[in-house]
Amino acid sequence: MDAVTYPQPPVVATVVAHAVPVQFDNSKAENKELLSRLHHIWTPDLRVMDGSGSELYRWDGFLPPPEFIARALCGFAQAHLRRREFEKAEAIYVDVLTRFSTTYAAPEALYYLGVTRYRRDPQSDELLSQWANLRSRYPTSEYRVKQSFKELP
Amino acid sequence: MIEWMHDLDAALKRAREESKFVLVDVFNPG
Repeated sequence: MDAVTYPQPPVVATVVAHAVPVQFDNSKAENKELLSRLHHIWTPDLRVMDGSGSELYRWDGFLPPPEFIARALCGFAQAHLRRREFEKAEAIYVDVLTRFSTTYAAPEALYYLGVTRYRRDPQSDELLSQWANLRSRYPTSEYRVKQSFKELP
Repeated sequence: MIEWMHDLDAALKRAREESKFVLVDVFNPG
């Protein structure tokens, strides 16, 4: 990550726009207690936390720059969504779908765009509307399966 | 390059001050 992904200016811009970055070396004894508390098992191990230290999103494994940006944006969007900051979450999901529509994170963005709009306004038809878009745009994704109960006869 | 902090409590405090999240990255130097 330090050699390929993190040096890229768009990656830096994405991270600093939404978060304070903090990094820990898992080979150092001084980090052992913290990593035990985080139930750390594999690297790179990424967590999105709010200012109180509550973990709101996580992923692990190497991702090249476009995939990392899209995944990180989905993380920040879900962190906003869990805090019921619907407008902020929606803006980020739309950004992922606009700029990173071919990434592995994009189906998640479309799934949760529907959830975000539904949570903001339960009377709207945005949940089913966005999930219909999901079936059309990402028919083989895991997130299509997650809404597949809506496809039952 | 990303300017990483290395103190979680200090990062959480800064996040509260700047109304941002904290992005934690645990890495292995090998």
